[in-house]
Amino acid sequence: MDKKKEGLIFITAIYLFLLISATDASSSDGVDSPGGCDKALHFFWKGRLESADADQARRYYQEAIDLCPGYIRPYELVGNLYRKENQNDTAITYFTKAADLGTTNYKLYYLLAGLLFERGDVDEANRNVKKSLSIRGDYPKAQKLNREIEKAIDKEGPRIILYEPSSRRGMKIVETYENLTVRGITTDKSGVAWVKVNQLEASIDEHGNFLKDIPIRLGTNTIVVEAADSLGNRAHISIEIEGEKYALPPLTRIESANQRQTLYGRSFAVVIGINHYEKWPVLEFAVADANAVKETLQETGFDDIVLIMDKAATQRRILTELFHRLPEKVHRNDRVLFYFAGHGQTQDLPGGGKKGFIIPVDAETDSYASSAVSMEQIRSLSSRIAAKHIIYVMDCCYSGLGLNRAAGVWPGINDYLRKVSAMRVVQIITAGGQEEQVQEKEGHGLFTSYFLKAIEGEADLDRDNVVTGTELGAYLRPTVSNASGQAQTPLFGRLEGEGEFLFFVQKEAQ
Amino acid sequence: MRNIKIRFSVGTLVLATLAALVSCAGDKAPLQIEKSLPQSEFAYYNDSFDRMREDLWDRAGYLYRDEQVQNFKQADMRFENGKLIIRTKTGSFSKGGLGSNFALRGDFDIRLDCRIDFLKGESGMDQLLNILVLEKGEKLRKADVVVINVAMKDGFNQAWLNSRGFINGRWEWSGAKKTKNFDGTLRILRQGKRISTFYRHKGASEWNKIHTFRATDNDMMFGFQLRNYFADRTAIRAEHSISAEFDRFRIEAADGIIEEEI
Repeated sequence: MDKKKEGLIFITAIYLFLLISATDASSSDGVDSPGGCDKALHFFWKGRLESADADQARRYYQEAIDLCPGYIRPYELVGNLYRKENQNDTAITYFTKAADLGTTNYKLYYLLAGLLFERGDVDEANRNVKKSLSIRGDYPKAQKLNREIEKAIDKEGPRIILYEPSSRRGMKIVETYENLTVRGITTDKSGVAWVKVNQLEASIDEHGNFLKDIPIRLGTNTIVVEAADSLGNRAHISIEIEGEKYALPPLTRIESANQRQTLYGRSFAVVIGINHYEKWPVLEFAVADANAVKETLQETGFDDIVLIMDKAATQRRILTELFHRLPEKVHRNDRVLFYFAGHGQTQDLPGGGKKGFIIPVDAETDSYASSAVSMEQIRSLSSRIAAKHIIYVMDCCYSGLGLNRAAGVWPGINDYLRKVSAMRVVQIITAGGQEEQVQEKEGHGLFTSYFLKAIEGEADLDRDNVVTGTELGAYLRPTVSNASGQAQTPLFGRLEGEGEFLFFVQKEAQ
Repeated sequence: MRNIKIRFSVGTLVLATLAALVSCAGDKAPLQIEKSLPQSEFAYYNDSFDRMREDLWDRAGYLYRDEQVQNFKQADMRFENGKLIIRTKTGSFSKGGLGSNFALRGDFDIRLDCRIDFLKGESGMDQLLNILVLEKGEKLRKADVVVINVAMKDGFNQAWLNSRGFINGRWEWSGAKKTKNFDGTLRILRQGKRISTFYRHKGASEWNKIHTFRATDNDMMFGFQLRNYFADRTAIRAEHSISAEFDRFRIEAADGIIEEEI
């Protein structure tokens, strides 16, 4: 009896040992289990090495499967043979078996998703393509298929978020004039095709930021923002605001500080000048120019000026100032001027376009694209700050700005100043184009020298004591071009909106 | 008789000199690929053997004879401290290794760090570590193959290192170099239709060329394995396991990498 017991214990121990050994050796491809799985590898490889003869290969793979049903890889390859013969249902069966066995092959999930998608099983296709991307997120074929599947399951219109007006539905708001800026962002996984505000098409950037100035009437105004994605799915939101009668008289000339205050809340400027670059050639007058600009801006009503000079003007500091500090303090009724005197650079893009950069003090010379500040970044500032008017004044030469030369509001209309001051605008003027060299005169850059004269009154073409952004461009382009012997011709344009940035000629009382 | 012998020696000398000249001319070819995809393209395929990369490899298992199929056990394969350790089973034909899921196009330069300590005085089994490139798309009996072997054959107490090529349906051999245990890097370099094989011991800076074959310039797959038998063996005793470590596979250069559809 004891011997029988001992024998039983011994047999049980052997069995357990074998069981544990088999478990330890198991692997995700299922070929470590004992017995037929060892031989299955041989038949699998015979199949692989006979891949030119599909029928022969399939027989070997099937033999491998018969010997070792948990061996994943032959299911994948048999499935693919059927796929190539357009026997898609059979291919799906084999692929699904491999998936059920836990394959980590991202190509299998991609191919399975493709077949399921073709068969119309969009949800399963979506699940499998997501699985493929969860294994290898940068697999381009799965990324492409994923986009197609997402488009197919996208039945919703874009999401719309309104930044401005920010009031709740039906709330009465006070507007300073008859135009209202409607601004927000819209997103959709299939891409946003268009945005309309009260049936008028709004401008929209690549991030989905949209903007439209619309007229408002006395009484209840309903604002409807409608957007469509690239598949034609639509969505809309609407708000109601109350327009009130304003008792403001027409404004044809600026005569007093009070009048200025009806047009702007606060006036901000970020002024940057760099002479002593770490790696780029040293400049002579950029710092002097920036100082002079700061003084003139102070005299003409700018009440918050940040001056960043030389070694302080790092990429980090510039971006911090533009994207963190300014957005915190700027409000809707304010204006913002950004002035830069330093190196500019234009990069030719592979697709044939151009990309402009301003060069901070710490930028590299060879890999400046990552250490400089691109015009795209600067342009995106307008979607981050609420100011109704922004102007970029760049005393450097480059291209790739994507300027819109569309005219704004015609100056001859009634109450022009109020109208253009109420409408949003982002304008830019640069010292010259890509291949041009910045000229210097009397201790200043030529461009800045004339810019200062312009905002002190020389560009006030209609003598209303205001220099608009358009007047500034109209004055600087020929003046600087002639003064430099056509060596540099300023570029001017509006990046968005139909309003005008206003400089007040009459100096603030000291 | 003496004269004949002398003439033979002179002839041999002339042939040897010519062979040396041809060999030297071959040796002057640069040991690098001049045009290659950038290294960043290879990062995905280089394997430090931290885990089984099923997206790169299939487990090796092809056998040459029915006797081997009837009595075959897959070797244990485990990943430990950034190394793939393969250990053969006893009492049967046993091997373990990996074959690539991708092919190399045009010129290429691939390298594998590996180590094997041979058992001394073993009989009834062989000890063989090899790496190989194999022409893709051709049937096995027609595909060009180039192999580097580090091996100790049954009944020998001396390991050797050589290279073989199955080119246009015929086997070519390099000379064999005696070696002790091997710890270093094996390398296969293709330039046009010339496939050269090299080895380098750990810590050495110079490559030792084994042989150059004139072979196919078609796409080639890559693999490596540890076996306890040579292809022609029909019976095995294998009382002990052999093991080898594979530390790092890398593509140093290549004109192109061709992925399998699946």
